[in-house]
Amino acid sequence: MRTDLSHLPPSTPDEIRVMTRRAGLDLPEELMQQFIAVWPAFEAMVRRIPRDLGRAAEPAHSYRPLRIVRG
Amino acid sequence: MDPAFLTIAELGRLYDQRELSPVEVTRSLLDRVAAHDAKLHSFIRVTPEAALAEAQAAERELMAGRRRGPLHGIPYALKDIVETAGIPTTGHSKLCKDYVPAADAHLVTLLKAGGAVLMGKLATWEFALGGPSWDLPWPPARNPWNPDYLPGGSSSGASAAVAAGFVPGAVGTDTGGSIRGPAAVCGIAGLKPTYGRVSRRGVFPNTFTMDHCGPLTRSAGDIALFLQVIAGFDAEDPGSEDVPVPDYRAALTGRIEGLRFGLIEHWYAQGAHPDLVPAISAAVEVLRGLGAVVEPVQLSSLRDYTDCKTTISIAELYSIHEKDLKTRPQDFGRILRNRVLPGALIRAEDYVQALRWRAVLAREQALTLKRFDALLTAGALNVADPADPNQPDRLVSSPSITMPFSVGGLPALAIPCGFSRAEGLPLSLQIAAAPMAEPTVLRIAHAYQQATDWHRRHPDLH
Repeated sequence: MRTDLSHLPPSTPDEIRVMTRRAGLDLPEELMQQFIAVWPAFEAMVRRIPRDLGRAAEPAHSYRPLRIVRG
Repeated sequence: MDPAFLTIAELGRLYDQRELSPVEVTRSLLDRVAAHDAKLHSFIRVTPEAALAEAQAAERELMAGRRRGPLHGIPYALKDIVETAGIPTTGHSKLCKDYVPAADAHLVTLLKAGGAVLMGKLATWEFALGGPSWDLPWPPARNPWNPDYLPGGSSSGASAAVAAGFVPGAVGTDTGGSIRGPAAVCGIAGLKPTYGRVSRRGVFPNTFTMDHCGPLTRSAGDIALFLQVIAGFDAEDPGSEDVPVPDYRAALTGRIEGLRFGLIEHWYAQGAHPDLVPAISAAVEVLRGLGAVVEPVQLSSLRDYTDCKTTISIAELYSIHEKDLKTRPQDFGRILRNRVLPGALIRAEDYVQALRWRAVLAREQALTLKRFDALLTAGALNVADPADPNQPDRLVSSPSITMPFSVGGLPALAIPCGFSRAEGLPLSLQIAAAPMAEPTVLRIAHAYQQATDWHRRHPDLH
């Protein structure tokens, strides 16, 4: 059984533009073109993350109230 | 006596014997920087007046018989993401070009209290991530073994300055390998301590959950001396661990007989520099000759560790730089911008799944270290990269051999173990151990360096 999202098709340039705008970024066209060129490798990376960990599997960094710095 | 390549331990001995003084050494190293750094660009800012004042103060105290510790009167330099009161701290970025901190980073206060002599601030990849970059206010540092090559990164200036004999030690930072990688390609020692061993307070963040500060020096013995001064609990760093600091020098026994090491060959067996496998094999034989037991061991792939680490990193990085990316994206260097912007599209569930995966991968390492005293692998998969502005960005495409121990938060030390035949550039061995087992890592590396002389070879800058 597949445990990640690597089967999903890569986002198109138009989809990347929409996602970027939804994130509140208004990049000049030159920078947007650069981003459209680099995003697919990052997208593929994120989609390789396994999604089948047990319900109780804790994240590596859990909240530790005694370590919150005061004042 | 030219102090350029004396170790911290040797300098301390010569101070004690009154054969050298901190002022003589500082002056000599400042002259060396002035003579040679124009082609290496390892320093962003040299602070000669302040350095000589600190050296004079140290000299007065040492002459009076007051020794504050192993770094008293020893020149050093800081990666320019470590904040220094009254001295600009730029992050090698246009964004912080004129930033002058009001306070020292916690580790700087420890170095000052220990009488160390700050010679200046060192080049870095932009904000310890974006590099090598040619579109920043300062040029990228170059490799002292051959200035046509780079010194690795992100602690690029730190590794170049130590390898060049400008300073006997420097402070770098390591999130995914930024101390060990540059140390590896510059032929020096670089330690990423356990997560929480050295305070990060006052250091520009990269990835809160994986940032480490640590020393770069020319020998494992000097790493022990440097770590002795900067290690310790800091209640104002939420990641700091309240664990007693042992006497790291006591670990330098030269004896490793009976220790058991797991050799992670599959991380470098394919796709690495052709001289790397024989160099690591030779290093393993040296360790076996010293009485260690070495067995192959298998962990998850570098691809898994790199995916996990990088997903966490870019999400955290984006949170740090979001405001500037929205208001002045053109002020970032191209490489940093294109490495951080993807964090805008990481979903909350991606980040949390990566954090949960990190726990799984870290547990895999912890369980393996129940069977072994240490893990061995390469310090870098290749020799230094050529200084070519048109090289493709390999952050995501090429798995990293330093990131696994960043994911685990383990102490990991890179030390030289040979040179490539074609390029004449350093190759490196990486040694990692259980959390807070820095003494074990240092013991192994020191024993290896007692039996070999790779760390005693230095570049000729002329």
